[in-house]
Amino acid sequence: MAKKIVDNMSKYRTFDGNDLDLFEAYPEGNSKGKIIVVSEIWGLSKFLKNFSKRLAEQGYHALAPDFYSRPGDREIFTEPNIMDAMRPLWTLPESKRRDPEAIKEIMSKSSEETRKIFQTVVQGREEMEKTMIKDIEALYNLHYKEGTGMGIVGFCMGGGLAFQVSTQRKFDASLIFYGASPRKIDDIAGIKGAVFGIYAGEDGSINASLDQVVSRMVQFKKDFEMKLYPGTYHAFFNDTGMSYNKPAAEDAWERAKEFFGRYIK
Amino acid sequence: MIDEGEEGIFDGCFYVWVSVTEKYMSKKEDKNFNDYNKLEKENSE
Repeated sequence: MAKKIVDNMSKYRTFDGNDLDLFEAYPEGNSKGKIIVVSEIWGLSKFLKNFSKRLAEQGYHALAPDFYSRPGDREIFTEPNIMDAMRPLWTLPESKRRDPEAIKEIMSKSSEETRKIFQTVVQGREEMEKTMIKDIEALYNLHYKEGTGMGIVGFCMGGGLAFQVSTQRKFDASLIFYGASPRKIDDIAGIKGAVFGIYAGEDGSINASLDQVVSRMVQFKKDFEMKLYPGTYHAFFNDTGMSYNKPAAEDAWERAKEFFGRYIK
Repeated sequence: MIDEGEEGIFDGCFYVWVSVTEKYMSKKEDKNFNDYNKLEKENSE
């Protein structure tokens, strides 16, 4: 008989003393291991909660932190606000979208939320990256236990974060959905478990560094596998989103289940 | 420290999403995010 799945919102203390919201989904009784689920730029969305429940149905304890739940952040970093922060960039040609003067001009006409989001996510990216990585490590430190399987999975922004954290902490299995490669590519030497990268064929900027990923995985003799889906776009696995590709997503899910099943027991 | 011109996890992600959302949302100022199925239907009519 299938186990009953429990899901709830809790909190955990992160590195700077703040309590972040945490979505948990797990089977009643024992789980096979724990998997940290790292969100897209949209944060703790319906998609991420549903995916966490799917992991729980497979017997894992899924832990999905809400990075935008520090005091004051929750009201600003919502899906609609983040989307609104992207809209002004559509008025610029692609070649101007990173031009500081062009950005300054359109931001001067944007809302306060949009300016705050842009400043944090783009101009302050290094700070945001460090903060979120420390938030993941704090969650890991609370849950890691020798002898218990530990995995991580991330999508888009979360994929990049998961990839980076997998070079810094021991995970039995790290699943990366169309995430950025570690900025210092030689950090791959620090990976201690298995890595599976899933990528969209039409995702040029994410895929641009994959040759370096592969060469470092070979050089450092890591347990690495990769699957690229031709004709799919970034975020193809998100069944609530604009790029959803059902056949690719269903195939990727089968491979994800098999991957975690091999390494987290 | 990120060198000038080097893309970080976040701004790279943000700009990828700008392109993705623009493709489907640029003409739909009043649409909510994730209104994918409705947009696909409108685009195919």
